[in-house]
Amino acid sequence: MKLHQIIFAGELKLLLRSRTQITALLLFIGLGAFSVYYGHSEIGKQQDRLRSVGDTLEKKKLQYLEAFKADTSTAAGKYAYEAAALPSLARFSYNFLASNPPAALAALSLGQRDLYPYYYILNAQNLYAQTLKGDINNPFKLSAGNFDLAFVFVYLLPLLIIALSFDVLSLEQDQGTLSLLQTSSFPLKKIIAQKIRFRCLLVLLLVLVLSAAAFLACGPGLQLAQSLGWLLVLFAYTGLWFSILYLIISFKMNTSLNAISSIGVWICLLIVVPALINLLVAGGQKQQSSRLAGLMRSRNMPEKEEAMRGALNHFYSYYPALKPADTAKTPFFYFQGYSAFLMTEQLKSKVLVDELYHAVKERNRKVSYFNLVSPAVHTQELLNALSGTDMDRELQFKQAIEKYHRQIFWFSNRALFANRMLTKADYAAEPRFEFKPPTLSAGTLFLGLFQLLGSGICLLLWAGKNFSVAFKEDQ
Amino acid sequence: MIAILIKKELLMMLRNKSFLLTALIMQLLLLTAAAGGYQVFRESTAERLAAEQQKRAQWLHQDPKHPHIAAHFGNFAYMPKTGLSLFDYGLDAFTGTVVYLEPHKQNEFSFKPAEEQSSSLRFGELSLAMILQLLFPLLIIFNGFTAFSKERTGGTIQLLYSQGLSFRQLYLGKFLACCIWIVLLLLPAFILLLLTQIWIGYTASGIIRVLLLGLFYLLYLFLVAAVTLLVSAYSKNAKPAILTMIGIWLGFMVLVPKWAASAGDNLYPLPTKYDFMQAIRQDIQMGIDGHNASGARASALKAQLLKKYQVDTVSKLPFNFEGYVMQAGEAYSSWVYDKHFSSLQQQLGRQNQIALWCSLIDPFVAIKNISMGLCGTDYYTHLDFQRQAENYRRFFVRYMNQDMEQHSRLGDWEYKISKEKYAEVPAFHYVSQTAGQSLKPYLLGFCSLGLWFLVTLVLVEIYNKQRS
Repeated sequence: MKLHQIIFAGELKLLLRSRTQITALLLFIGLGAFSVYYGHSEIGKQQDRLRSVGDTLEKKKLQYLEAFKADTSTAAGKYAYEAAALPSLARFSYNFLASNPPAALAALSLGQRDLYPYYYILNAQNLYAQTLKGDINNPFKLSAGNFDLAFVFVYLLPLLIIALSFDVLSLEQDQGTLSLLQTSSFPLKKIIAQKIRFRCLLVLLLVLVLSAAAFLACGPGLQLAQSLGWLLVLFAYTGLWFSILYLIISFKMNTSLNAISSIGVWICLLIVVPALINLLVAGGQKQQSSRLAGLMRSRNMPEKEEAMRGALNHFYSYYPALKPADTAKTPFFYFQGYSAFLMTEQLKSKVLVDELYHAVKERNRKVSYFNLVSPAVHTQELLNALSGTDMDRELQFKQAIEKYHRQIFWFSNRALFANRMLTKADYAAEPRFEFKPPTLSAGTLFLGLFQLLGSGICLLLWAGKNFSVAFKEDQ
Repeated sequence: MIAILIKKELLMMLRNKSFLLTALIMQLLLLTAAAGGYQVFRESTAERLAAEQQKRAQWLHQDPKHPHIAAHFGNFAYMPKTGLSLFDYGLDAFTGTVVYLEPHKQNEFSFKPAEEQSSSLRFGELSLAMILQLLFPLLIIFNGFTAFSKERTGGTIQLLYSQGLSFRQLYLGKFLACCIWIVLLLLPAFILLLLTQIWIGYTASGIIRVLLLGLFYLLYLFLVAAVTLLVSAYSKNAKPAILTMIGIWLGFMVLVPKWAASAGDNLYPLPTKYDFMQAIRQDIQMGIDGHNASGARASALKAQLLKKYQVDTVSKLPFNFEGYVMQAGEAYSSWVYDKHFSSLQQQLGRQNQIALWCSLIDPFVAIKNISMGLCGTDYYTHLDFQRQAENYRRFFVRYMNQDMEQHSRLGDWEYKISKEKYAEVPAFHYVSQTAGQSLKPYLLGFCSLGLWFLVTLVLVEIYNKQRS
């Protein structure tokens, strides 16, 4: 029988006899299963919401289309027809849906999806007056975060690894079997390495089983590359934590000190280091948003011909083709003036909002400088990126909305500036929101894996050196 | 005898290099957190003041315009950072910082600082409160889990008992020694906090809050020490003691708070903003909408006024009927908003109630809530701010509508108010709650600390009786 077979069989027997370790494993599986359920129920709610809002807007559209057939000799019919056909009315009452549907893996790592609105209902009014106003949330819930599978893996998996491995060597010391092991024909270093390997394989199997169950619950739409990426990131993270434990064990401390050191490292990597980074980055960067509050203001302008002409002239400098040859006032003159004012205001606001998004990106970039010393945050970011719940996707969604809003503006204003009514054909050709979410690039994924595995290998080498020194001393 | 015990424990503590090193690291972390907290407080206060001044100037320097149109220009209420937010950031990152106040609508708060940060923020922010709530207990656990097992394995415990010492006395000695070093380690942080509050010009109420914070944190940490010593006494050796304490720490500080928040959200789901606003809109449309005097409610109002003033047309009324209708519409929409917001707040209250009940069994949740409450960074302070901001919105909109009603004629939308009128609307000023009001929602938390002390006391007595 080979060494690893002997050790694996022995360790399995010991594991099955250890009530603490079996409880830890079962607790972890239970929490993992709950997190899969939790993530899917959260995403399920979001999907239901998106469907219901989409249906409501579709019904509204049908009502608008029906209004073209309305009997305009009655007050109600005339009102309905005008609401649909008058571009000056439709521009602020006909709504469009811009949604950020959840990606296939979103239920596994909810990331920032609870913080940002995942859909907007928009019309031709100023974009920021519609999107900057807050959403309904419970701040307490947002602060507590989500009990998703990513939380179980990033926070609790290292604790399981600690619970399984912290006394691999010290237990032998406590039981007085260490000297017996040292007399065996196999080097102590190899025996300990095999014991750790057994636990590592067990944990990897657990990660695989829980992830596979979560993938199955995702249903169709899941891509192989994303699933593989998810597993690779978790395998690398698991490897890193076993390296940390192997290093701690290599110092040959007693059981209590091993437990304290392991938990100390967990506290540092999961709480202290991320919190310090947040403080460092937040301390060096001002909050940009309070300056932008003014963008939520209702846009009003004097309803004077002079003001309208000023707004229109400014507008025509951007869109010269729309400038009429005839300067006489059209029936839509005042409405055109207000739309022109809205558009130029929007262009001014965009500069400020772009600055905010740039600052947010910059802050994110700064946080990523610390990836090497903050593997937990790094792993969480990688899982979020694979699940499409990261900040990058949110910023791209906002960019897509900005583009879509321009189309929404022209949907009614094209008719308004052509001094005509909207028709059914306009509604048939209404703009649709298109959002091609970004995917995590292979380069970023491999760099992340390289950093996690690289750190792990360095720690293993350090532990190996420690064991060699200790082994020589024992001899 | 107890005095000798305390002296011996403290002496051992001073000889323990790893404890001294950890305590030093803890002090450095506290200092870093205090410096960081002060910087964040100073910058965000400066930014808020600048934004407030800018928005106020924009309100004051509006062109002369119709009062209702001027009201539509709107005002802003900025949530101030309390002086104690540098101690405990609480929910500040997740409650919006500003709300836009305009006629006919009650808006939600915008610009949550968390929206400008990646998910790294979910790992927590380094604050004095976070260190005292999460890390300081670990220092106590790591230092106390061997308190009895060491005596047992070293054989000294029998020596102590043989000298007539009871378990109760031994426990008390060790506990008091722990309390002394906890006070010594906590003192610099609270002196620093007190000085910072005086430096930034805080009020007497602020000083009371600091003292209360000190008191509650001491109670919380004493409780952690009491439980750690008890677990150490009940455990056969060091290993089960440390595993039990780490299990308790993990369960109470990581799992229970997260579970409580998730359970609340699942049991009492919140409406989406779209549904919420649709319901409000529908309710308002059933009544008068503030801009349309031809609705059924407006007709009833018209008939009522014509009868009251004995005139046959609204143009003969001694005030502008449109202004009157506008304000009546505002009052109606406020009533609708009150109805919906109150039901929303009840739902949020039900969600948070789970965490409040959890605080009864989880002292960490209890101290977290009490700390946020005293620092003015909790949900209920935010709610209070929201109420005051809403009252201000109603006040300035009513003020503008009344001007329209009293000084303009029916159909006269050319009527304009002078710039002086804008200055008559005072700037919004938030009046903070008293410490008692801030603590009121967290009464269960006090019970939690008391209950845990009681349970610990009972278990000490049981162990004492078993041993004797």
